[in-house]
Amino acid sequence: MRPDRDPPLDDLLRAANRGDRRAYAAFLSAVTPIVRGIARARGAGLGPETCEDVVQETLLAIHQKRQTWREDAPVRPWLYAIVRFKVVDAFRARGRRVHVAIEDFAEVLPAEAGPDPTERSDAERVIARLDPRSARIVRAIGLEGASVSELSAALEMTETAVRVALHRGLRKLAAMREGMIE
Amino acid sequence: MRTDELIRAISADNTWVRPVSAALPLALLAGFAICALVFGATMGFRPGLAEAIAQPQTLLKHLFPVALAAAALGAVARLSRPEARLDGWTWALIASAGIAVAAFWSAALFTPVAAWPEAIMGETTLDCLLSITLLGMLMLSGALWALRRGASAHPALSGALAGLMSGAAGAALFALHCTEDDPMFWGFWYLLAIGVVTGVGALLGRRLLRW
Repeated sequence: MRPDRDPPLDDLLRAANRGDRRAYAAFLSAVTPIVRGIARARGAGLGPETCEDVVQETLLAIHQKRQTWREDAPVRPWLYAIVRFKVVDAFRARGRRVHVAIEDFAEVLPAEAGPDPTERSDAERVIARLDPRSARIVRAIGLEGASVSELSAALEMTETAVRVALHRGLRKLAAMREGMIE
Repeated sequence: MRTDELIRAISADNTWVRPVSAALPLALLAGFAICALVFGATMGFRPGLAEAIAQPQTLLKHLFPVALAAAALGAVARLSRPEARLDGWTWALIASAGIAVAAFWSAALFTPVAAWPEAIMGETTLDCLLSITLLGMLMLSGALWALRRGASAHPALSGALAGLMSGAAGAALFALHCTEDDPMFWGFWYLLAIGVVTGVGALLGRRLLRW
């Protein structure tokens, strides 16, 4: 059951690291239910909003640290290690220590998102703290599905400037959410 | 922001990132080069270095910090991936540090107990401690900066290993200048100085190596 799902994930991330954006989007979409399943199972007691926060923090961490995956190693242990790290952090931020065993996360069932649990979550608070232009760009690309070229026309910025702003905005997002844990 | 929106935003960001396995050794090498330059400018080689190294106990003085730095480098590079475990690197670390401990006690066996305090204190204790620590801190700042590209699941441990590597590198450099060859001196003070840098590395790593 697992073995024939693993190669696709590895291939997707490999292609993504070489610049294939569609492969990257496919990888993230495929990985999200897995991450969510683990976050809910291991993060029992954190609540649905916080669990979805852990999912998003994991996705941001994957994005920031995708270069730490060695292509000759399987993706899942790398992925599981990142989720585990973020789950432990989530407990620590709420003043509770938890030990998450390195067991076989493959046994955890993947989970789809329920009705939007993020409205009152950390995610909104953090986006609101980005500077207006970065927040606008991140939301426009995420929420409205705008493309970089559409945005560059609408905001009267060059495409490169939009890409750089997106990249920095995501990096600040990740850093701010990490900083909120201190 | 909804998760699917976040995914869309993330997948639109295709800024290329260099693989950490390539970037890390380069950055650390650059850090060591700077450290070596500072050493050359402020301390320099001891006179008669070649003759001194011919003595086995002095050879060990030079060998053990190099071995320890190499072991710590391997360990910290391994640990910069989130799923990694130290495995055999732990033994490499213990063995390298063990060289100094073994040298210390071997020399102690041949030294009358009454002479131990004098043998340990030596003449250049403060200079040795300060020099190794400062060289080590210099290297540590570069090492921590380089390690931020990684994703260690154990930030404090990675910081400690970075400190261990940096302290050992500093000791390896300082050994080229140091004229005290008694293992009861260097087996003690070098390890102590390396220990200080290791501790600082752990404290800094806990904050700086999180992600």
